[in-house]
Amino acid sequence: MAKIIIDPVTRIEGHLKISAVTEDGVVKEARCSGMMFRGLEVILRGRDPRDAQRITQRICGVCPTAHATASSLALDDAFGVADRIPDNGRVIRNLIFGSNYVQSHILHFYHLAALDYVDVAAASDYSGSDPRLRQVAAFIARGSLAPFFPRYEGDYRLPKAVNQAAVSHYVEALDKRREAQEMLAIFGGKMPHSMGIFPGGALEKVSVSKIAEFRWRLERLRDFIDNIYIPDVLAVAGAYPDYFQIGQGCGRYLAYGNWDLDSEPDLTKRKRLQPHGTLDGATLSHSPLEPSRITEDVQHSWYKSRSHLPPSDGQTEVDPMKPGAYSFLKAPRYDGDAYEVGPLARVLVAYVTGDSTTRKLVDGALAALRAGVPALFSVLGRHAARALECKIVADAMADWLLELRPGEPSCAVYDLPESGSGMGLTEGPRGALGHWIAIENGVISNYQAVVPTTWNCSPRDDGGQPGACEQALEGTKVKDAENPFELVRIVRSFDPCIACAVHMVTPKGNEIGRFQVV
Amino acid sequence: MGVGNVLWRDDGIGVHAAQIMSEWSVPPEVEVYDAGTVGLDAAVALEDRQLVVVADAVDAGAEPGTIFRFRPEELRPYACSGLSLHDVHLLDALDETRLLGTTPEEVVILAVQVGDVSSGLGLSPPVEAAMEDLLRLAARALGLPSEHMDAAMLTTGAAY
Repeated sequence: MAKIIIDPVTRIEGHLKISAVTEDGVVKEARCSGMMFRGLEVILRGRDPRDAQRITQRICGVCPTAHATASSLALDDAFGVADRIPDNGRVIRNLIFGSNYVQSHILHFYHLAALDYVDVAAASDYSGSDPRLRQVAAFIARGSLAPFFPRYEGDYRLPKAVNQAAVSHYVEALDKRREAQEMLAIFGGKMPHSMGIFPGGALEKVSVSKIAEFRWRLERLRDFIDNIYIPDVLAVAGAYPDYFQIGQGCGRYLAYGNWDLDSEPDLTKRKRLQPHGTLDGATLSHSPLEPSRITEDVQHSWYKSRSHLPPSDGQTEVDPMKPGAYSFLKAPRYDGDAYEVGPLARVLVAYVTGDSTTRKLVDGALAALRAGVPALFSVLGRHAARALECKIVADAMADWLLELRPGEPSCAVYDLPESGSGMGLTEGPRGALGHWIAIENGVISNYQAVVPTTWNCSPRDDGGQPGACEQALEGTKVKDAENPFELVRIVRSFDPCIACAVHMVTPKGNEIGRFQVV
Repeated sequence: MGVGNVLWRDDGIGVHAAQIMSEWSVPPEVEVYDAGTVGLDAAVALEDRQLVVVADAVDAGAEPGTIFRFRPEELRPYACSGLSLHDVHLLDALDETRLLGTTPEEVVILAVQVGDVSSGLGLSPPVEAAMEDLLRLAARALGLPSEHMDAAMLTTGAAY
């Protein structure tokens, strides 16, 4: 028996700790611990409901747009305006959020995950004519190795030329992320913490010049996704085929649906580009989403509130000394079971419900890799689904852009209610995201957010069932306990973002040296 | 550039400072940027600048409200130690600009010792009291004319 502790997991957002007990080199038990506390709900109570859109975005700088969207959907519902969102407002929301998706997926593959597979050292002796590789070689020569290290050693398989191309794309992707941010700001006003998505629609007006500016950037990004990003993911998949067998997890997938195509007030009936529902990986059977089946357990979480509560009645009372607890994440469950959320869940639900664009792309990628649908339930399946989804969303944005009508309104006009409640269900880049709001006497009386990483990196529930990522780690063969690259590759394939799943507890009293006091 | 998370009270001082400064009339070559919890994408705001003055929070075990000034390279040895209370990967973002060849010429960090970083909005009294000095130091570092400072300095009342 050996114990492997990875704390913190690097190249993710926020502080996640993984502990794994191995026996004969196989993980017997794994635990994911979110090491920071989330107190968001407490802050919102007693405030003007419209503040929720601004404040929830401040949870995290990586996916503020997802929170702006979920929060605005919940407020649309609570304000009774969900059926009156003008088409411009609906489309602008999709364009702002879509820009964030493109940026987030490129960031995740190139700057967080690819370094698990691409050996940057391959660029250290580069002397050719690619200016990006020359920059990287000069960078390494100066001895400054961050942001490429620390990393686990021992399993870099790509041929040198492919490696070098991928390193060049790493640098190019930095530029592409900036272009995606600029694209977001055209209708979002600013990034991070955009003001564009708002209850009732969007705050920016449509003009021909904005459409043209957006289009120009979008086409450059689509070119990058089609000709660089997707081929790179397939190249990695070709060199690491064993990662189609690793990190399956719970085999159950959950999606809330995303990208509004009409203004039906009931989100479970609203027409959306990516449909909602659950999927059983073993039988490929799909069931539509019933939000009332979502509850949260806290037996292994540092909270003193009750278990099995639906998020609309959720409580947030911290108990950091609770025996048996090991995470600040709660354990959300659907029908009592652990579910995986994220691009793979969304793509699978769209695939089995017959979305023709998704089917064509997924079948094409699987044929190129000579793999079947079950191969998707894996580390590489998550990366492939993320890349294909990036294309699906970017291509859809090009069509949505043509639906905008300059001069027409973007936001509905409404009065604020004295009381009410609302539910906002959407999909962040990392997975299913729900906000629940209750309003009394004109102010927020309760607010709960269940975020994607809480689903994926949840601790055990009251029945002892591990979370999705814990299940993906258990049963994994670890070649070298000193270099557990298999485990970090599994964790990072989920694209965890703990900054948003939890907030911190207390600052550590660090001796940080002597700086100049001014 | 104000960084920090306004949801953890004093951790947000840099953002509150940027929000006050955004009301000032500054010369066109100066941009006030609320980076919030932007993470790696802070690189967008850093690229090719002559000078970046970062307003930040820090926990150095000093009296709450104490203001420190340091350079990014002085932070390097402590980068993994939980020095900063939030998730702004300022150093990572600087590394990205190095890769792109767009590193800012000079980066100065002005950081205020926190007192209260529990969940909540608004600053604790000793940190609120440090705001005026922080703004004056930031204005001086940016070479803003003093008339900008005096009139605008007392525009208090952070956005939340």
